[in-house]
Amino acid sequence: MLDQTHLLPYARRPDFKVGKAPELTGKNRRLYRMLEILPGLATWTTLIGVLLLSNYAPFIAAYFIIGFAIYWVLKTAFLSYHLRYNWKRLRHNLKVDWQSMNSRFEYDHIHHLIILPFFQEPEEIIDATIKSLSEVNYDKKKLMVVLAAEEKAGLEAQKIANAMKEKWGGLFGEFLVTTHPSGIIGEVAGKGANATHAAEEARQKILDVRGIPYDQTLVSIFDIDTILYPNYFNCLIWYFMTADKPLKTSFQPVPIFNNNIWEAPAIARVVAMSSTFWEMIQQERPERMATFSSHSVSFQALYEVGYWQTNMVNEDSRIFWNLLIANNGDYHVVPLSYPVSMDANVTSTFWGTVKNIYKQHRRWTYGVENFPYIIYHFTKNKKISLWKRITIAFQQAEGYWALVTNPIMLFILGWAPIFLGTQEFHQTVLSYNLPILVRNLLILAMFGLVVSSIISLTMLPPRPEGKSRLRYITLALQWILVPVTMIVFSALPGLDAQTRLMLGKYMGFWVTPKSRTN
Amino acid sequence: MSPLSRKHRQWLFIVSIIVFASAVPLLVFYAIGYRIDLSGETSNIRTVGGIYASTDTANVKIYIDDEPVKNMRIFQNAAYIQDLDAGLHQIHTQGEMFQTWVKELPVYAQYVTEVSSFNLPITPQIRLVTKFTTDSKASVVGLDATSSLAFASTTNSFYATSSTATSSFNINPEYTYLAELFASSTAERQLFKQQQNQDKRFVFQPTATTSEILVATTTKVRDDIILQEIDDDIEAVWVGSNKNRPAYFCVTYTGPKSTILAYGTHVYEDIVDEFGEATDLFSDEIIGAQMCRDSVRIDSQGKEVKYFNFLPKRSDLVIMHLPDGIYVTEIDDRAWQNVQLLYPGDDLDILIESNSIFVKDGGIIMEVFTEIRS
Repeated sequence: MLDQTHLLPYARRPDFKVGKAPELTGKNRRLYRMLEILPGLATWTTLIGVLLLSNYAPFIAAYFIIGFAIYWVLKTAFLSYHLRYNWKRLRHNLKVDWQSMNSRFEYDHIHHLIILPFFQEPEEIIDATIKSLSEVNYDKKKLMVVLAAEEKAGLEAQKIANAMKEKWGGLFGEFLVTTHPSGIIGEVAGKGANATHAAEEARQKILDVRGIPYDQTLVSIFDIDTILYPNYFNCLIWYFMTADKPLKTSFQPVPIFNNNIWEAPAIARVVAMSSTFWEMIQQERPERMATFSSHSVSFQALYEVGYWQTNMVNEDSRIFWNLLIANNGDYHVVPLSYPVSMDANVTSTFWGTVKNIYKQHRRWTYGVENFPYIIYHFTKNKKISLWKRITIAFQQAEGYWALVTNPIMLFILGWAPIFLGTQEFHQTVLSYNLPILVRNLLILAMFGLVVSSIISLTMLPPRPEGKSRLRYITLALQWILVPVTMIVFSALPGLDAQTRLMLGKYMGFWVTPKSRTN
Repeated sequence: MSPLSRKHRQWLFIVSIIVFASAVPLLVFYAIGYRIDLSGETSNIRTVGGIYASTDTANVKIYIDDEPVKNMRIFQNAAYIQDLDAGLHQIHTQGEMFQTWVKELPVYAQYVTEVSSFNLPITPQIRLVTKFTTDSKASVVGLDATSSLAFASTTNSFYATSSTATSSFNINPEYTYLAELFASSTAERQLFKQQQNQDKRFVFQPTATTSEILVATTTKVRDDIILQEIDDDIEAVWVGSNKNRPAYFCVTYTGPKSTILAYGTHVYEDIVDEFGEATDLFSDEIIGAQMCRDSVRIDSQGKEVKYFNFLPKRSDLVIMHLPDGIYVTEIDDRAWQNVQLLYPGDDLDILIESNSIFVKDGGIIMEVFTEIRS
């Protein structure tokens, strides 16, 4: 029997870390399965419903579409406002002298455990990440690096890990190489399982050995392509020290997918920057945030829930829900509004890039697996306030539903009544005005893209030699691709992911291939 | 720098909701045809309709009530004219060197009247297909032929000669092919005409079924419309689904008098023929209803129709060979049918081959175009 005494009471439940319905039995299994079906069912019902409505009740469909287009314009304006504000805050935070801001705190006792899980990424990617760690404006001896390899990746991964230890080991307080064993029953091979193994090994081999208290250790888990900005840890410390409940808080930087942005094709750039912008928007409404990709959290909090889940795909967001539910709702995300740089999804060929972006976004949108988890535990953990449970449930449901349905309804189904409507409908002024009105509203919404275009230009890394200045023009104009990227890399992978979950065809972890030419 | 405060965001959210709640009804009312009229002393709300006019002729303009339509919308060759008050409106399309098409149609509040125009060139546009060509591909014609074609505009170069010697010219295979087709089609038509006269009682009995009609070799079918000859008249019959039925088969029935005023007596009579026995045409229940006919009679101006077919690439226009020339008429008989002369002449033969119209005028074969070729 595993020792569970360190876990929070709710985290000791056998179903606390349920990954999918088949792991449960009886009524719970049926409930969980129903919740897995719900998002896909709602989405398909909406899409088919709009088609049926367009065919049998085109007038109602037309009114709905007009209302929806207005909603979209307002939503775009609303989100653009948030984006612009966060952009200002991000730029401000990059200029702040965090070290002097932190001078009023005593934080020498705080240690940083940096977990870098990797699989088969090339050495130069890992080297660049650790190099950026070595260049931060922070006492390196307070940084304990854990390079977490996978046994499944073979000897090459071991060689790289050892070479990295050799090269950088002396610079940091600790440099631990861990190897996550392959073939553990019940695990989904992926980042979560590797990170959990690394964290536990680090606890045993570093924290316990050196007597470092868990509540004085901040864990930063970074994707292996993460390049840190110099004041990341100073910024983190400031937010940690000023947080209401620092041990009940996760800290979320802004992932900017621009390491290789100059090498990426336009479609990859738009998708990468759109992902960044979405995170920036979320930073201004933290009550809707969960952790995503690279983030930081106290070791104490992680230990109290048994680290990351090892039996599902999107462990980066699931850990937040684990923490929120185990802490009876008393857990938060603090947005750092400070960037970390990551790679845009690029391969050597255009279609290879398109395929990989689709797969990456399908994995991300498979975050819908959190929906049954959240709602299931909301039915079990009554210590979380009812209002909070209702609010979160609604936000999550709306988020997953909108992700898929909004782009499809806006750019495709908006025209359905014109093609499917009855003869009576076709003869009306409404039938003729509908496409004109929707088109004009979409043009209005496109002004949000102008904001995106301007902001994206300010977030570019320096132009490499050999890249023409004219490239800036394409970088500005690339945003007209947004309607396409929203359908192909947001709605369709989202629909794919929700349908898989609905049908019980559970996904595994897909590692995004990383390569850099520069 | 602090994050956006919750209060600030709530304010933004509330403003968005107010804008949404105001914009939705306003835009829905606008979309269905309501307009606020601020021109009078007191503002009032009026309902409007529209006309969707399309033309496939380049360089013609669309006019509504003699005013040119400025914003050709949606597609380049079509216009959706909004904000029209209910009532009769005259639509015409005209352009330099084209015949004018004109129609007067009713517009009803919140509805769009669809109409499709056509404008043939005033001067027939032809391409000569001669028996011989020069090395530079110019058509070789006799001097006597040039004077007889003076009324037409030829789009290809030709070489006029008084000589009968042809050894220096090349034989034109297109001419040979078309001459054979004209010869065979003429013979076939004569044969069919004889058969038709013999079988007339059988083919065009009032109880004739659709399948019987379909076997007639003069019947032409395109896009679910059948063109057929009944008792020396040409009729266009809709055989497709109600959903796809062209707008001109249907009228908005507003009572006997106003329907006659809006669409013409002949349309009202068609409605009486089709619905009169089963429907009380004075009943309030059917006032304002769409009434669709299955067939529309094509106006042949009381002349003998030697040949008819759909105009190539159009299913709403009929090409007819009448004793004094080749004409094109529209099936749309609301108000009246526009008839335009394509090529004049009393000694003509016509052939439609691969979407092209070929006419044999005396001994000269030519392709006749429905548009002006530069």
